Amino acid sequence: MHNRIKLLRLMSDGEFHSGQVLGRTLSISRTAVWKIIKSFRQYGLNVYSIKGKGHRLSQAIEFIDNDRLLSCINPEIRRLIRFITIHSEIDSTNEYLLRKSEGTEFHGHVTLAEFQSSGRGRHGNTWISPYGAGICLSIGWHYDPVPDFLALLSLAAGIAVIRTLKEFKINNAGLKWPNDIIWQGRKLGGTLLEMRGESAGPCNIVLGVGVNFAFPGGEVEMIDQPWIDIAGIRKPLPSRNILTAALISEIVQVLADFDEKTIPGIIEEWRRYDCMKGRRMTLLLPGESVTGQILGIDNNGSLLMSINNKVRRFNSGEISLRALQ
Amino acid sequence: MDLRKVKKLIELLEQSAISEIEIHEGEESVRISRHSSGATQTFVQVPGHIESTQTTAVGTTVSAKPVSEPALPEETGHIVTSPMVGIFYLSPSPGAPPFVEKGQTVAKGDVICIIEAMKIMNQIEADTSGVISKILAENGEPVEYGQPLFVIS
Repeated sequence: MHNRIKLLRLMSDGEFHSGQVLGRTLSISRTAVWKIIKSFRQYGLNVYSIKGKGHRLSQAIEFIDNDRLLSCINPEIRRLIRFITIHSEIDSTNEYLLRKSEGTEFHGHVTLAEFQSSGRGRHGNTWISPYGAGICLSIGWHYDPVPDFLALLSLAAGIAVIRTLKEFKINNAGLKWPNDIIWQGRKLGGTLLEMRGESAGPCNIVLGVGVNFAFPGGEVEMIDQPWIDIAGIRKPLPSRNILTAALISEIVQVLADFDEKTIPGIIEEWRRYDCMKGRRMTLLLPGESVTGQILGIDNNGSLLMSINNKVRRFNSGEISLRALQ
Repeated sequence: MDLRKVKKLIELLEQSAISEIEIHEGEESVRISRHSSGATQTFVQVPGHIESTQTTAVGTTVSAKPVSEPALPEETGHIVTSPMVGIFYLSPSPGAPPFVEKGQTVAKGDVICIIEAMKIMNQIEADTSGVISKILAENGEPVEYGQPLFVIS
């Protein structure tokens, strides 16, 4: 297990490495090296093995580095961050923080993972991201009491991602209600808020974000909708650490600023990024789906659709991108 | 306390064998009891606003029984209500086993369902320990604010 990570780090430059040298470095046999390399497939990685040259990852991996990350977050935001935990592999960064929600290490806790074995989206949808190829990030925040208009935080989360992308000159990404990040009809990222708590009083919110950064070439198995990654939009590819730091800064800012006064601004800014308005789309609901024209959002952030010439309002459901194909 | 919630509670009481429900929510509390006189009475109490205490008598068909009939077994139930408008989910993902089933013992703090709105998955905890004696909403069904979801007794 440990050797798997060591080997990944040795190969993270994306260059060829001979099995013999890799084995010697880790004090393991060439066969053991080969076994580990074959297991990289479970991480969604592609390896090219050529006789006489050795093995290489289909692309380089820039590992998330604690010090590099921190140095790229501006000091004002850094003061609001109380813990940073970086995992090589975890079930889900959201789940990791939800498990911490009863303890003292919750609020202001930023957690990242190179790989999530059970990354998730809305209600049990899986979130797939090969090792080191995405940005998988969750932040825990404590509110006391629960803001009445908490639902708007879901919109604000999407806004934070769009703002980050703009900093990196990605200007044509938009939002699909409530907070999916879309680039030319393809999914670039998503956010998922989860909370645990009693019906009134304080609550613990986990805001999770996934952004496709640089996926290995070829198809990524199991992703069942059109997708794009940063590498496919922006050349040269920005540093993964710098982009992640910017994303953390924007999200922490949104979490810290969130209150009644910021609501009108959130609605207004969200409308500017709305990339589905006017389109005819299908909304998937439990047990049914409805098709109609997307009209936008109302002042509470609910989705408005025109279905058979009647305006209907939704506060749940998922606009299907599959139907775009 | 939301009047709709009180109304839901009355309906719930009428449909059940429970003779009395008392719910505390922050500083507010409501006690609804079915008296042998055959009426369901509702008391809404807001501390510091005693003058607003209301008493509403609602005749019910359920309670229109002869007084001679043995009293219904005393059953106290704690009702878990929905803190928000959204979709009610009994399991973490489609096809996964439910968080709880009827008759299951839960401890305070256990996650018993998820309510989703605006892609915020709200994991609802049991706010008391006990046995899930009723599940009052259907998986995947939209629920209202204050709608009773479970009875824990």
